[in-house]
Amino acid sequence: MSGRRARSRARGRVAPGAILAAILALACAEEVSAGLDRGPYLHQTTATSTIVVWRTADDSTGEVRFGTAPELLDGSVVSGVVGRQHEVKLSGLQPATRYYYAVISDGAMVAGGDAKHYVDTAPPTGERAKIRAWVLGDSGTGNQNQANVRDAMLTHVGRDRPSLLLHMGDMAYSNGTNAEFTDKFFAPYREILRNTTVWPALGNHEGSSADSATQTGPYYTAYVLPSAGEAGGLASGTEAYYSFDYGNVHFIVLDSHESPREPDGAMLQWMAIDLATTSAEWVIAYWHHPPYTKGTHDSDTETQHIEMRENALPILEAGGVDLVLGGHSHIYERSYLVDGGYETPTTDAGILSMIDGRADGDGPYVKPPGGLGHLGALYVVAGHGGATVGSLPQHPLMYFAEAQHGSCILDVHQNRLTLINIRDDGEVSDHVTLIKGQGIEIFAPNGGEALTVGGVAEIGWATVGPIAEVGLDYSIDDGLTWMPIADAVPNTGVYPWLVPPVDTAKGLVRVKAVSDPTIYDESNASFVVEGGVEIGAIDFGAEWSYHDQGVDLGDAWRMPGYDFKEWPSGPAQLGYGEGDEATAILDADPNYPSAYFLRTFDVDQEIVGATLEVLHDDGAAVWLNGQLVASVNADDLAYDAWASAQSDDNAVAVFDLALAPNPLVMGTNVIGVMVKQVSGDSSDLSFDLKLTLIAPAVEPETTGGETEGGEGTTAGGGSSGTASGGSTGASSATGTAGDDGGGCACRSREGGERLGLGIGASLLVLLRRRRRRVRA
Amino acid sequence: MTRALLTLALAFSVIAPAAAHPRLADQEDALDRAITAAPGDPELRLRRARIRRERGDHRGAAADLEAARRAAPEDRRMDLERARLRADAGDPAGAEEALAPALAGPLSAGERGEAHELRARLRLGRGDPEGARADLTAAIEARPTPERYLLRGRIDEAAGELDAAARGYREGLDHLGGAVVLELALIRVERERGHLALAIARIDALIRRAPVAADLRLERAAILAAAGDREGAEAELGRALQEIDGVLERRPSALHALTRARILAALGRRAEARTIAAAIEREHPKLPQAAALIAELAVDGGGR
Repeated sequence: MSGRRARSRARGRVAPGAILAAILALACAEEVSAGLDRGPYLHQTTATSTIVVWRTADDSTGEVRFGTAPELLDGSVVSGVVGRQHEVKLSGLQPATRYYYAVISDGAMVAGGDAKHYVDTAPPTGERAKIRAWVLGDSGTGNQNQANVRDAMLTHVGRDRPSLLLHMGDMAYSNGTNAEFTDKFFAPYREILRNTTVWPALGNHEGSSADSATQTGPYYTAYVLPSAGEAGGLASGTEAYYSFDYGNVHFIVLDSHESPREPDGAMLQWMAIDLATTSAEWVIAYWHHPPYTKGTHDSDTETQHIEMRENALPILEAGGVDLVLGGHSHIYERSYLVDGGYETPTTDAGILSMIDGRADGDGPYVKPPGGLGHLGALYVVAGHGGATVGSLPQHPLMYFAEAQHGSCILDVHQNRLTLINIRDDGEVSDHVTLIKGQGIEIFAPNGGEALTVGGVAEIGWATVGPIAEVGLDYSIDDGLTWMPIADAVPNTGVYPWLVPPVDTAKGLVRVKAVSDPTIYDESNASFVVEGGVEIGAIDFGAEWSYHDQGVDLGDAWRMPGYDFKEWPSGPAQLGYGEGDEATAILDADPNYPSAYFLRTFDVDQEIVGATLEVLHDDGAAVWLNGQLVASVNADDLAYDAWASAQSDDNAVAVFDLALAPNPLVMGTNVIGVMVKQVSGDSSDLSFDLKLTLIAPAVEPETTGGETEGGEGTTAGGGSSGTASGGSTGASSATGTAGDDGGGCACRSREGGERLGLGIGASLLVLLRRRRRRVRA
Repeated sequence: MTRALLTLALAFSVIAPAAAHPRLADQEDALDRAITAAPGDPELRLRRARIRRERGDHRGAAADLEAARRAAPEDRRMDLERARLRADAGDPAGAEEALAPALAGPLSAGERGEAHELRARLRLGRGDPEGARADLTAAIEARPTPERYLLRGRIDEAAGELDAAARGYREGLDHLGGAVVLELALIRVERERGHLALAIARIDALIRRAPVAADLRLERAAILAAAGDREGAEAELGRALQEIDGVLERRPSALHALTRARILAALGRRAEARTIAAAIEREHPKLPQAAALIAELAVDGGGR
């Protein structure tokens, strides 16, 4: 690239510096934005590298410090050149990992060093990770429309920010000058670009000040794009068009404005080879001038649109492209599943499927595996990011068109692709899904919802292929761990989920095919579950009645109304053999297999969940009003059965009880516990228990709620509306009687809940400490 | 003109004009307002002329250019835009005529490169590859692009000037840092002129970087065959076939199927190749790669 930019590039790995003290000092410093003209922003983020770019008002030195925690930036790369624009490549990074960074110019930190400046490296190429991209076009007006579109996106996604910004071009009206780039692209998106890697396509307005042939002008100066296959794909030899891999997606970005568009030209020849050498599961292509549009431009009459349609599409569709994005025309348009619509003017002959493509409507579009082509692709025009919108009569290939400002969020997960249109007023006006082969799509909850403990949230999904039963799980930690909701329910597409007593901003649900658990889907993004009011019902050390006489009491002992007034009682911990018991019970020789513990507690308001902590040695089973709600090391509940496994001393098992069906009643409730020995010669038995009840949160005065981090509010979004989850907002304990008035606070689920440990209970076993003594 | 040159000329001839579009978009609206305020501003006229041309409004574009020329008679950019307009309007002679004053006067390096490239295409279209080559060399000197190197190299190849073609492709790769279209062209030329070790080294480097290398292995097999290593070539084709079959199982596409057809043809299984190619052409009648393979198989004829 001859003589192009007055900017500095620093590449290569720098040995990690032991500069913790200095870093900590920097991390604590105020961000020095004075002198920072642009950025920092990110380019070419791959699984192992990224490029941090920033521009200062005057010439300066540059350095990036980075690490996996904002207070521990123990890596450093120095930009070897003095200049205004710095482009520093961080290499040797771990895939799918968050790195925090700080930007240093002339020895002073000008940005970063805090939790807000980070980059998430890409998943390994080919891996079926969750991918979220912001699709934006024709945004660079600098006006309120642009800001509204941005804010609507931020509000919708909440904490689940997109990793990629796919810009369709026209990001700096009217001529793509340096000042326009600074004011209309880098300034309004500053807080997004510091975390979200931008992958732009050249628009005609940038084109008026840029020269693709020479890669000069403000567009090519601002952006650091791959030309030698640096981010996957094959080398194009130019930044005007390029490709990159991200997880299981191969992105192809073309220049429809200035580069020659002939089938035999360098760009389309490169694209054909690039397509032939990718094995990515998904192929997504974009450029500025869409092949199909009737917005403020007409793809039947304008040269660039026609040539891209007639010349690029036949190659792309033969290469199995799945989604083609564009801008230029100031409108949102979304096609049916189409193929082969190359003619001018375009007719509806290319429509493969006349359904709406919505999981909660006619169903997703499906691309069957196999075949030589004509499997179809979706075409989306996203030119509605800020410039004045308009429309012509609807394009024959478009299912949906709307001349209102907005932008799109693209989510790819495994063999499922979803795109939603978020209008500038926050409404999701369109959504579409494409599934390859057999698959599942969850459409509720799908990110952004605020669910309430004890509320019923509707889990909604659609399936493609013969799936008779599905299993449902939920996660409270962004998918690191999963807990069962239901193991196998009929594939009806809907399940009323009683939201368990958890408090999380990282909630997800998962739906999987019982017959093949590799077929599954998760919520696109996380939802909030706001905790109810915790009420202590039984504390550790509470008084319990017990029966330790080696008698089989059958089932009656744990049922409401059972008379245990004559049983002895004492405070926990109860048991024998360790010396830490507050109440010693009979230590028979040989041991009896089981001992019984009973007590009552009162409930005076609606209860929707509970947390149970059981100190057990060895096994234990717990009943509430006769309903088994938890067990550990107690596979066989017969009196004379031994514990199914030996526990560590004083192990504590924690159960989150969804209470579905809810066994609790208003007034007096009975809790019964059977504690089991592992064998006749075990040396000890221990029992204690803590029960915390969860009451619903109090109705807030206003709807909606703030997400953590304060960078946007949840709006009950998701791709298809808000799951019903009852009230939102902060809870406050009232301690007054509930208003259900029916004598039972039960909320029952449909579909025949199975009893036993599977009753919405999740188990965490906290193992402790002392070595077990075995009687000789 | 030889058949190769004729093909080249057709391939790179100037694109036919689009139909006129009567409606103005916001960008043009803004320019209308600006021009109303400053009717004599040649810059505004030039910008609107370009927009109007892209919209197919050739008459409006010509009027703007004429007004711009009157306001700034020495500005050669007006001539360049007039040349683009004539070319878009299907008047190559008029376009070439307009380029003469453009190239005789001051232009930026980018504009000069574009003017030379445009004239090269026009010259190719009227069967003047030598003139086109000279223009492309000048365009490359102004600003190098993959497109210009590729076009000039093809002219050299069509003229049988393989050494010049190789030199040009190599120069492009040096300037542009590894454009794959130039790399593959260079490998093919190196094979054709017998520089097989060079060709193998370059194709191996590409194979190492490509997630799916079946297409590239085809070229490698051709190089081995050219070196007389029939066994090696067959083995390479076997690897290519195995790889593409795996890809077709995981992620079938017509392009990958075409690669399979080419591998089969290279293995001598031409009837199978023809069947696949014909099926792809039926499904994708607009796919140039399918048509090219069909034509190639038809020319060679025979086979199992």
